[in-house]
Amino acid sequence: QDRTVSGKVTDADTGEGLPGVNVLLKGTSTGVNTDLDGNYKISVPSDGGTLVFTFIGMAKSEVSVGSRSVIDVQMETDVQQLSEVVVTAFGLEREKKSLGYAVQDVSGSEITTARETNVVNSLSGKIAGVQITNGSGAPGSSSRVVLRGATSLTGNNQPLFVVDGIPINNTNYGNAGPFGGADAPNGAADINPDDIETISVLKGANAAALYGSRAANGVILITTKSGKNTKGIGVEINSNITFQNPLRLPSYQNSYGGGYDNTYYEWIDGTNGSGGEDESWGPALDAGLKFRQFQDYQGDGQFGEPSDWVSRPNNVRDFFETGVTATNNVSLTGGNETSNFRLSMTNLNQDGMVYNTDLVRNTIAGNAGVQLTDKFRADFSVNYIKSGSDNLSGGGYDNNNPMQQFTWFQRQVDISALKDYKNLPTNSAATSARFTPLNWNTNFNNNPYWVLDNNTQSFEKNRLIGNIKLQYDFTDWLSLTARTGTDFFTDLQESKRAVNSNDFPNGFYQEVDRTWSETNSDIVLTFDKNIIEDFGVSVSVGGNLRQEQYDRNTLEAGELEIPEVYTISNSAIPVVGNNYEEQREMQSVYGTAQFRFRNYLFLDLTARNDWSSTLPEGNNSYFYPSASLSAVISDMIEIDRNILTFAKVRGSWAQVGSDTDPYRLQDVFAFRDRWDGSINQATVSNTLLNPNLRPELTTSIEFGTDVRFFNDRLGLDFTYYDTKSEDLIVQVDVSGASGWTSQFANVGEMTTKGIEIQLNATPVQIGDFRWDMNLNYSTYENKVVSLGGVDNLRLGGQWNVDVMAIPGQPYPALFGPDYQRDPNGNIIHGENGLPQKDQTNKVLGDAVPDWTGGWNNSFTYKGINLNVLVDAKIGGEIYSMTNAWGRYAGILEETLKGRENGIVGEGVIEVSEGVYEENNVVVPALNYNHAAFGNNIAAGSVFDASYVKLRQITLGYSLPKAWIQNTPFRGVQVSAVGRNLALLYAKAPHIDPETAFNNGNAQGIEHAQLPSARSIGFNVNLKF
Amino acid sequence: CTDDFEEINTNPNGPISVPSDLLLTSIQESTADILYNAQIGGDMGACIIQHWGKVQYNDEERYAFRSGVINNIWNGFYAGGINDAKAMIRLAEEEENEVNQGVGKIMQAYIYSLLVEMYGPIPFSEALLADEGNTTPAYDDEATVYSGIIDLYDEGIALLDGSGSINETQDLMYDGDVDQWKKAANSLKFRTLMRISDASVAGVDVAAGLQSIVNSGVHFTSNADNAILPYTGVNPNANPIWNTIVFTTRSEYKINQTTVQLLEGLNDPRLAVYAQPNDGGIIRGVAPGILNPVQNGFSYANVSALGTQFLAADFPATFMSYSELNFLLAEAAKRGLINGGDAAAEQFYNAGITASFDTYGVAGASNYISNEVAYEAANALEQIGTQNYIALYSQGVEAWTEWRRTKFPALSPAIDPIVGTQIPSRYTYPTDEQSLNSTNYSAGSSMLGGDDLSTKLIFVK
Repeated sequence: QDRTVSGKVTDADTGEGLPGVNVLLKGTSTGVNTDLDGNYKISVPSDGGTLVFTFIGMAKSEVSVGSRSVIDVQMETDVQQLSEVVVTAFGLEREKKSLGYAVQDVSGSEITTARETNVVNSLSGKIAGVQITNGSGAPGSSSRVVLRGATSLTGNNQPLFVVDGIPINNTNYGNAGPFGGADAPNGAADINPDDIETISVLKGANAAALYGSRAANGVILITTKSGKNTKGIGVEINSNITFQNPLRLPSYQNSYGGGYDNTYYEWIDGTNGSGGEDESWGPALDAGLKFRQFQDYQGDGQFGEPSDWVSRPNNVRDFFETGVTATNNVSLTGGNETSNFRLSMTNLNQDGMVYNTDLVRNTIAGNAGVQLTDKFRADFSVNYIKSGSDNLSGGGYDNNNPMQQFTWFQRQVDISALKDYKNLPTNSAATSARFTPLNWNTNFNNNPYWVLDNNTQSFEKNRLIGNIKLQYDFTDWLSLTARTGTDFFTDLQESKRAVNSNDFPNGFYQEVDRTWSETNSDIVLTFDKNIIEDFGVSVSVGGNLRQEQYDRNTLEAGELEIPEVYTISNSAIPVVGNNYEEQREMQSVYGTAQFRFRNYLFLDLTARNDWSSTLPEGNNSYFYPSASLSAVISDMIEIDRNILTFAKVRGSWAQVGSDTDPYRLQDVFAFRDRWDGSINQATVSNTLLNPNLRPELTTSIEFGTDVRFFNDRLGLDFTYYDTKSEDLIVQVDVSGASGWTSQFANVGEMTTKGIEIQLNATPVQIGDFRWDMNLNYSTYENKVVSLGGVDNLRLGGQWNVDVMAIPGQPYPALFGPDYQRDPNGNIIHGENGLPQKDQTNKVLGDAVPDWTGGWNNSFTYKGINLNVLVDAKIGGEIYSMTNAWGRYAGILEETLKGRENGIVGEGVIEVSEGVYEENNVVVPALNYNHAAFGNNIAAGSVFDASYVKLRQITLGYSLPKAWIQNTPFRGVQVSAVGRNLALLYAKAPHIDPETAFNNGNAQGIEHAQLPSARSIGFNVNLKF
Repeated sequence: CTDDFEEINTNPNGPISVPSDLLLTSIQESTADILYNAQIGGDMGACIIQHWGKVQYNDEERYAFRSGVINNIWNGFYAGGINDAKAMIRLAEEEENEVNQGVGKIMQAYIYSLLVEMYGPIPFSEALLADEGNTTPAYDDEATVYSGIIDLYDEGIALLDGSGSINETQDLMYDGDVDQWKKAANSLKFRTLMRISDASVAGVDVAAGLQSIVNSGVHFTSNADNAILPYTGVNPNANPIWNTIVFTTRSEYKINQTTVQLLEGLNDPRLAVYAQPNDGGIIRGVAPGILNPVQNGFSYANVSALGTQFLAADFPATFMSYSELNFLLAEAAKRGLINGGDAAAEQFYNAGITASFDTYGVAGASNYISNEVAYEAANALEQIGTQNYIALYSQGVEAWTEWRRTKFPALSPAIDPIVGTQIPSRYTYPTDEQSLNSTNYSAGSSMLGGDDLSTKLIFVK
């Protein structure tokens, strides 16, 4: 005889009732959901049985009923096990076990406590196969995220970012490169961590065939908080303040000062045409000497007494200030039986480690949902983000990057003497830094503080991301969903160069105004029914319309009439203006069908056809299918669940077709800057377009297993994948004598295969103490197979190293001059004792790591939680000009070697043709370092880019319920947080090898990026 | 519902077609910008020919050229002016404007002459055909290229007599004056014929061609006819030499000791215009291609800067001057290629010197001619070559080319050459050609007998 059991399910953290918890009688199909207060009532057999309580984000709980008739359950937040249900393409919810491909999640709470201003960075080390490169420690620096390596040669290789089902723009509109410009945040950096409920990473084409072309590199699905499953009104306040300082600065020598003469130094005011030598091969420091230095200059060619010739070991470190990042968030949530809402406001304020650099971001987010009738539901979400900076630090080999002059910073230079620049005399007229405040070197640089105050690059971006979704359930197995969403922003960037900047003697002002909008509209019909016993079918068919519109207007005052007036009308020369407009449209129909047998065998089929405006008629329609199979072995056979709790194998095959960018089919004339500001001139573009382009195609297979043991105490997720991209549309170089220097063609092919392993474990669970860990590992091999007969394709580079796609090599490869080497690989020195340069460039390395991994640990004891994350990127190379110029300039500690007695370069000398003997020629250290480093021979400055980082430590404490019972608080949590805390291991000297000029494809090069930031601070979370 | 895709994907940012005139400005400016780029006309022209020298960063002066710059010349001329001219000719055909077709052909001929004289064998008959599918054009030997250049001049000159006109505003060189274009075309053709006067180019009768130009009387007759691009002096249309040396303070560019000594030896008053006094108040040049000039006594301060006219923002780019034509006429007369003998040669020689003095506003040409460099029949070719060399001061590429042809005045190579031992006879081919057009590159190199700086071109003595 059945009887009834009732009870209340509550959240162990808050004590609140949990609505919607699934309560299942184990081994049967009998189940109920808790009501809005968390109460349930279920009938059980007379002998009781076991009740299983499951809820998204909570640890599964199993309770033996016994003879009890009332069972109250407290559910714990699940810190380790990922949610059972995942949101896949176009918002379809799928049971995780039914998926034939790898999906991994990160919960919102994981990224708000120890936060990054750029949310992309929060994913570092947490998920197998997710490779993040944070450009630099500058506010607003972009980050690159790549899942499973590159699929495109010159196009975008980053995943598609989707917020609440709507794709958003992740473009970096900065202009940073090896020779200047400022990096700007990538588009996804605008997303506010406080509003994120979960981030799901769908890796590879398999996971994402239904998102269309742009999902060939995977998808990062961001679901924002909605207020669902809340009751009444809740208020939450989160405050976070962190402090930043440089993680790593070069190790300098502090024994020798500036100049080339070890007995004499004299700072010249520039009237003789030379503003001073900028290298450090001069006299010994701290030896009681006095020489005339820049700080002795009094203006007008007059000098005071020579200053003491002393070392300034911290002259670079002292330039940095403590960065401060403060974030404050207030959110209001509410809900009842039929509706829910959430409103949130966030303010982020960041002062950079470098003087006068900053970032501000204000976000207002709103979500609401209403069950209008029992069949009709409406939801909407909207995010308004206003972000900006008065000055993003400049990068690259450029006067506007302060790090650039520190690459040459003579070891006796007193940085403090430069700071109060407004009271310094001005440099003489004969120098490049003429009429600007005194600097230690006037030939190549302006005073760094003056630069930071005057030569600014600012931006102001207003962005709206929102969507409306309507769903009508005809029956419990047939529903129609319509959704439309938009991502719209304007972004105004201003660059200012003061009169007498050494690279802009007459000043400069530029405004770039961008407007972007992308609108996506979908309509999807979903059928979901168990046709016959044990056999269920879920089918969705839908259509998508995507429209993009981009406008860019640029106005430039190439020289200023009146100094310090930054307006276009103040231009002393004809104003240069141009605008660019771009439109594209894609129409798609798609379908997905899932066939399930007994809820343990799942076959998923998808199909999509796109029609793209960017491809020529005849080639603009392309179809791509996918198939995946998932088998939950543990549900198929009788096994002891206490040992093998869950086992699944999965496999899938998928294709994704891709279109190209607009306007690549038909040549148009370009206009050059008007002659004399008035006479228009047209020119034929140097790139020949191609009216016969075809869609690109990526084909991918994936196999994996997911096994869990000992009631989920140990879990292993393994994936193997193999991806081939072909018909890649590439702008290939052609002989200039053909009339064009490049043309577009479908010629590229690239392959990637790799594995991902994720190990979850709870090694210790004793009483209230629990240690959870996650270990992840990923490795892949990728290779450029073909470039259509072309030797290589240049993606970027600096000085004489090119970052290239080269057939037979990983992508991207570093290509440049090596030393001449004997048959045994020894460096060949000339008769003069200096290493010789090989005249033929070769592959010096690649920017692809051998493997990446992370080790995430969470220790909980009652209200205390300690989280420690270590991540690693091992292998791959980086070409470091900080090292190259630092050696050349004699500022790095290695340059002490041989200062007094000379250097014998390690290697050989050719004594007669083909006969080599060990080199024994002594050369001055200066000559050796000039020949072996600098921009001539690159190989000496290419390093293994491996690193292991202590990425994160957080220590949190939730105040016990009892303490706050009689206060308005429902929950109080305080945390100490640290990010990017230590470089535990790095092979490359002097730099943090995780660095880039921007988040483009030309990775693996470095020079004078602002050092990455170590960030330490506090987080307070209050719930009312 | 994809009917509007073509409209959506129609690029609104540039026209599919433009009036042919709009290309003319770009052809003229881009050609001048390359020719007078400080790294090209300066480092790889004026410096190697010892008009200028540098007191720092003088690798090119010692014949170590940068591959990137060599690529830029090749791509800049082919994918720039020559291909723009091809579009201009096509558009002018559609417009039935024969005059503009003629101007396009003349500009193509001129730029091809620069390329063949820099590199030797180059793609010509198969060039500019990427839009028809040929991205690996074969190289033609020098004689074929020269004969093609002469044909282009002839066709261009004939078309100038046809229908249509040149837009006055768009023509930076001659304000649309067709007569002046005829003079320029004939003068440039005269120069090209002189280049091959010692080579045999099938189908080209050099002497007859020269004489017919002289007979027509349609050629430069004063400095007002000079083929120049008048830079405005305001960026982005300021002289590129000024941009480098003055605007971005690369003051290592100075006058060369060779030029100073030559002009001093001739008491040439142009020296005071060609250079500024150093910190000691005298004009002093830097030794040609010396290692570490500063350490060897040639500093920023004690070597003379270039003359102020040459460093002016609006200093024009010269494609060809009246004075050069006179020296070529003088040589042709002296060598009997045209009628007139020594008498005519002397007259042209004097006119060339006078035109050069006039160009820079220097007085005393007649005194100089009578007292310092009076025409001597026995030495005439050397005198003519030397005066042309002096007059071509700061026209780096042209001065180098004429010197390679005449070898006057006698020059010693750089003191400390890095590559080779002699003043280069040519530039090496672009590294881009080695990778992007390798088969044809190899064939071109074989025609030459090796892709080296020292390989002789057909006009090089």
